[in-house]
Amino acid sequence: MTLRARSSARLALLLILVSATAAQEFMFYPYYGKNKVIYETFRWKSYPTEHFRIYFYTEEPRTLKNVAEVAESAYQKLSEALKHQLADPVPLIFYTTYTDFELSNVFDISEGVLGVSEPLLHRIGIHGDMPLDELQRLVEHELAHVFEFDILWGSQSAALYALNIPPLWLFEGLSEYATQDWSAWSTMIVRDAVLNDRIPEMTESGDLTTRFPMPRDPSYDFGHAIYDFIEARYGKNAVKDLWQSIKGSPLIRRITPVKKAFNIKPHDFNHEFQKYLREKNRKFLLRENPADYSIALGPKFPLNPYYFTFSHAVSPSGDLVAALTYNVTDFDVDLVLVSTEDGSIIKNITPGFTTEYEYIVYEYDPSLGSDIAWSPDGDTIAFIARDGRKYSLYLIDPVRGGIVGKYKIGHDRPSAPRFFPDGRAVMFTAFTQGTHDIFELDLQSGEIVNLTRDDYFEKAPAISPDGLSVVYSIRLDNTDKLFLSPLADLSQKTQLTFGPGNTTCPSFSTDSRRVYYVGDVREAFNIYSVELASGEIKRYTDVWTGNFFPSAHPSDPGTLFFSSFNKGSYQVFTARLEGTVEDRVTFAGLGSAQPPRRFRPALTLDIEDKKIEPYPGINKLYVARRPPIDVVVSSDGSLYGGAALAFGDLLGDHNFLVMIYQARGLRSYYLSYLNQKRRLQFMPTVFEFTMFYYPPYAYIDPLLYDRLTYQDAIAYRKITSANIEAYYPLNRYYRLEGNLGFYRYEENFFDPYSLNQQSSRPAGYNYFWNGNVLSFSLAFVGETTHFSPYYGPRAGHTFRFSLAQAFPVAQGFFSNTTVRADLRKYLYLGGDALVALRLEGWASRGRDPYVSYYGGNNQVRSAYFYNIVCTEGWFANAELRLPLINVASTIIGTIGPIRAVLFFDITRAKFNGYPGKFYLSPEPLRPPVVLDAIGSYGWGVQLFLLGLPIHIEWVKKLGWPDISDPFSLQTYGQFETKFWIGLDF
Amino acid sequence: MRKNSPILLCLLVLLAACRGGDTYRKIRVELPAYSTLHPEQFEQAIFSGFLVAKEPDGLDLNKEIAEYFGPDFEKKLHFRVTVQRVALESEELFRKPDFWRSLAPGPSRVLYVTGKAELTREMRKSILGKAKSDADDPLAQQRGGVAERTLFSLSLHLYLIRGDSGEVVLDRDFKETKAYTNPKQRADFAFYDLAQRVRTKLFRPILSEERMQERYLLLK
Repeated sequence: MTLRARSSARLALLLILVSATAAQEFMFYPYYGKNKVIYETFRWKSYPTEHFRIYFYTEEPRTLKNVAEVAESAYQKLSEALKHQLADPVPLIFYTTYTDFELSNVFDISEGVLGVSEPLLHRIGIHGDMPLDELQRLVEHELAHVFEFDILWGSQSAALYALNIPPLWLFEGLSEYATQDWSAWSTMIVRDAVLNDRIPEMTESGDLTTRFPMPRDPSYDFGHAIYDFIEARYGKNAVKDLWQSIKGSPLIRRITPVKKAFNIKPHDFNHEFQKYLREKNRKFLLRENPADYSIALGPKFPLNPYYFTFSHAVSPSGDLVAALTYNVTDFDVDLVLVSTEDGSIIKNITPGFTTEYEYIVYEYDPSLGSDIAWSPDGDTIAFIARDGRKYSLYLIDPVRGGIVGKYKIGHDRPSAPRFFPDGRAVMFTAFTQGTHDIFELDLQSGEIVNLTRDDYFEKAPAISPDGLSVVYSIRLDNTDKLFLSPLADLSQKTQLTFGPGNTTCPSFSTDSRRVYYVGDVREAFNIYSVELASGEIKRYTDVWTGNFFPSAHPSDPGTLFFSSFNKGSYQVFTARLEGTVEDRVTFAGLGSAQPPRRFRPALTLDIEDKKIEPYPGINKLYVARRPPIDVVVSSDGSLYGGAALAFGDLLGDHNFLVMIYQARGLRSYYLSYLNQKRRLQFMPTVFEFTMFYYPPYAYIDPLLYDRLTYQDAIAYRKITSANIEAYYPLNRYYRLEGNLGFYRYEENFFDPYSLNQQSSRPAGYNYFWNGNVLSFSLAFVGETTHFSPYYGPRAGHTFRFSLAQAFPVAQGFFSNTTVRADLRKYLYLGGDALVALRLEGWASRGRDPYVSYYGGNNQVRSAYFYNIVCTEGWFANAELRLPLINVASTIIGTIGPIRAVLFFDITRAKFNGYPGKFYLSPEPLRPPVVLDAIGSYGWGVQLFLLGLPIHIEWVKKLGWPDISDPFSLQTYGQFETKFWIGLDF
Repeated sequence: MRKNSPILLCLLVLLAACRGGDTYRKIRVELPAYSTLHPEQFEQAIFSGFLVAKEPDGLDLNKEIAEYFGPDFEKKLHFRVTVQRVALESEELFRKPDFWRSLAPGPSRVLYVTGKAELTREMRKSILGKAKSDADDPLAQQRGGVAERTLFSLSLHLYLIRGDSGEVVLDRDFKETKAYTNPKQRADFAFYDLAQRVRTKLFRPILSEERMQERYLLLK
């Protein structure tokens, strides 16, 4: 059942792909995608300030006032620093919580994103789950980006025409520099790299790169350091020189910005920059290196695949440490058990992938406390994970690895779970209505009680082993201080630490008489303790970077476990530490001497209620992205080209798409409106597609087999339609889809000779569709599949079941019923190796069944591309995908990844009323062999060239003369070399 | 190879004939600028004030000039920079060596930075001609017409004067203008933009910075 096909089939496919929404039986993209569930619809309002229009939905007036003050203060600071004004008000979209921020239709928010700014409309998106001083810094960072966009490209929307994209460090570095603040985290990253001689370098093209693993892109912290260096070396005005040089940078023969601005080669610049950083950090050189404490117990990347210890918890026996870490092989956060004896990895408790939760919550910022806790009996480990709308607390069995308990948490950004000493409850912190409090979760009833109910920002709690006290930190002004409360009443707050610097990450000694914590008064976080009886403060370390989460060994109180930032990651260390007395303090009740300091923005504003306006919705539309202009020339000389224009409202709830494409003389038009404001999303569409292809008349007449070429057979198909689609996500993985549409089909040959020939043929199958379709379809779609960045699907499953009915409501309307199923399963073998299975089948019956096309690529490899034509059929694939090379440095540059594949496929297909047979010509001019099923096996390699997944495969044809006897299969011909570009299923 | 040799030979001859008789070749070379100032002869720059002809309300042009250019004299020329305002009555003073010599503090190798400055602001109507469509609103009707622009002009006549001899070692006149669409454009920010252009032109010759230039290389 094959027909010789050549390149124009690919062109035809392209248009078919575009028409996927109309011709519901075509699959245009190999993955269905997970769902973004709009759990809640907000009543947006806006409020104008001098330089912003703030979009918000909170009913809390104080929050709006805070945001307005923070924004205007940031504007004033940045405008003065950069000597620049913005001509238009900045749209500032404020989401009350992080989980609300994730519902944004404007920004693509993933875990860890605090704020976003975009260059087109200069929109800034932020959320309120953070203390006010951090919000101030965040707005300054994002607003600095808007200033950058404005300086570089001009006013709003000018970026639509921008072709010159400078290196990332220029943007992120300036945004950090403009805040005039070095966070403890950034300082630590830079100092660690400097003292370990791992400073990133600027390349000839002006990018900032490093060979060493870093916790985040060096563009942020080292970009900031570069701006500091430029100011120190060339003066404050030089920053503007740098940006001036970017503005005038040509597209071709681009010169690195530092060469252009300061006439210094990147090589020399690197030398000067490194000298500057070394000098700046010289005083830390003689301090303790974390490697002095012990061998690193924590994950040791690249000796094992676990990089970074976000949090750790020592087992009650002291033999094991549970570490929350990043699995570099799986691109996933895992919980692993580490031996405290030799640092070996005992077990990964959360191997592979699961749909029981979306991801485990982890924090880079240690001041929020450890993200995991070990139960007092040692039987479970608690962690928090994202689960649907909000979060859940999970209890996992460290031995068997199964989830043994799950408790819904209806609050935002919960963290720092801590077991009560009797194991009956878990304490944690979370945001509730904009404030960060401490909660108690009863493990029997699942009931959650807010223990603090105040407007202080409490974090990182620790409960004393005797069960009488709790110690935690509170953010006062812009520093963290330690407080102690009776466990029975957290409103009684006794301040334990005073003076400059932060003090956080507290834990009790085993006898409950001492609190260990970390403090940064020496510009690096060191381990301290405070005696609760005497107020005596001891310092135990003098490290060059930072030590966090100190906890005493349960059976050896003199030994501490802690994590230390070392060579780009947190690792767990252990040491017997002798402290030196530094101070003796007198504790005081919170606010007993003077009211606690609170951060306030530089500017104060009064909110005028009458200026608050409801968001008008679809009122004004904006261009959403740069219109693409595509031109493709196919190998037969056909020209294909077109453009698309996408525009929507400011919040991205209402989206319009207009497309115009042309192939040869055939034009296609498409207009759609997508409403994604609510959970039920819908999309009315009108279009007219005209595509060309070659009809499969050889299929029904074996005598024509191998005698015609596609040029003899080219036909066109025009579909005119108005339809509406709706999507209802059940959760992140599963959804329902519905479609109601009217379609008008017109098909014919281009060539009058072919038309005559066709007309004169007796009683052939009428594979041309000319008539109307009124159809309704329903589909159930699921995708739990995890993807790796390059290799695509890795583990999980995907399916789609659909049923479509075409109603013959009048003469000229087609009638058919079509069912289709697509089932995929990915069996992960580890290290990006997997077995991928697929079964796809369909049947269209009735008076006018749909004709489907498939074959080639990774469907049926021995067939030509889209050359199997049928109304009913199925195919199955089994592939073993094995990565060969992840990255290889070669004489032609860096290549990879490269993956091998061993494959097998089989298919059957038939037209209604015709036998389900394939005709295969093993030799020229010999009658074809008649087969029940065909397929293929073979092997190949996959590589990426210019980002395109390219497959080169060696394929052997298989045939089954009698499918009832599967072992009757035979091979035909030699191995054929095939080449295709596309994503794996 | 044997078969193609005559053809190749003919082509080579033809190419040689077409080569022509150019006697020069255009080249791009980085050439240093000529400097009349020798920074190594000085160790201190004194911003002694400028004769300000006109300045926008609320802007102290003398202060802005010293704050803007001071760090450059410090960073680029490695001078110690101080601000010492001198009562300047007229432009003629710039050409009176005795006056400057009398100000010089002892044997110190001083360079006086002074001159005449003016920053003006005016509103102008700008004819837009064929108006571009509003990119944020593609559905809006295109409108042509007139738009207001805020135009800032900076005139800076700069004198660099030797403290020991009172001799003018650099005398340059700069005039820069820039139009802003923002009607509320701040004058101090505009000064910053304009001064940056002045700065580039000023320091390039002082520092003998190399600059890419086109030159003709004579071949005969």
